[in-house]
Amino acid sequence: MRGASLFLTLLSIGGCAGYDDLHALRMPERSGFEVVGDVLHNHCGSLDCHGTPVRALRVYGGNGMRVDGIPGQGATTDAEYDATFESIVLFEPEVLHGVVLSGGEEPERLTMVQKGRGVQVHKGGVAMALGSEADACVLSWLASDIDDEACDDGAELQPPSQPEP
Amino acid sequence: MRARHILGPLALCAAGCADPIRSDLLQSLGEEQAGLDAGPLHRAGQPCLACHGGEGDGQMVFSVAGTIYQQPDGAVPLANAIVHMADSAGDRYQSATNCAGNFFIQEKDYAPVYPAWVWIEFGGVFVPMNSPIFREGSCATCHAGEASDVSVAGVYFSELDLDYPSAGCP
Repeated sequence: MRGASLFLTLLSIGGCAGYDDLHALRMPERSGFEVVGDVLHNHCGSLDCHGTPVRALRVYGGNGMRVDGIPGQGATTDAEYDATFESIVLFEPEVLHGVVLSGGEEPERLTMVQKGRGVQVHKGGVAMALGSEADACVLSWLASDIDDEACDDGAELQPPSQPEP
Repeated sequence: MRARHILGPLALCAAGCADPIRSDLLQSLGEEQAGLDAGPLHRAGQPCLACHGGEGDGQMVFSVAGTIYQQPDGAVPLANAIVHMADSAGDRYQSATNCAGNFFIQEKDYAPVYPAWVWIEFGGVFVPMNSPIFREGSCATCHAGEASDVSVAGVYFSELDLDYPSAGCP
């Protein structure tokens, strides 16, 4: 019976349903997602990567694709965190359901994790290496226990020192 | 007979296997500007790697290239600026803009390991790019035309109307 319910839900998703139609599936929490969104934005969401509407998985944010605004001007907004969240949960909802339902076990079932780690062919290479703070942040979200410290550290992309004149 | 079997599909592929996205991009760039032959000064503000990315008609293969302007309106190119790059492997490289504001880095000289960071230096002042580059070598892919929700305006040095030395192309 539960399987039939899931099947029907997935059928409706096939018709371009939104996040609100995923109520029969277990999804990671939107609450607290901001710190995860910052990691994804900084590692994946530049305009030349997933910060563009031509990507299946889209990441929005202050320095990338905006919901309403100019890239590079202003911080990431709630609407942009919402848009990134929806993009991710609608990307592979049935797989995500399984990962979240199992408490975050075997997260590598998700294409996003495989690509981020560079395990699957990924034009952007290794964006969030296995065992990195960024990887740990995403995994903690999938396990419904966000590791704020890992996310804060993982969001940092330390630029090299400024060149000498 | 065997040769025909092989050549037939190859001929079909040559006619129809081109990357349609790249083809559309090249078409959108239009013809060369009248009176300006292909060379270091041509096609300012356009995505250089469309032709110079190793698969196009451009003779030189670039890893990174673009055009820098004095101000956000993109009206006047910034000549004699130095573009500094630093990549994730710790390697650095620099290139200068010409009178058209164009700069280019040949892949054989420097192919950055992404993400890579960029600074523009002019008159002893360094202006960093807000975010690193993750894979795109053409500045104009992200920095083109009017600013929008998916595009930053052209690459510029300052919003201020500074007193730049005159440096027009001959």
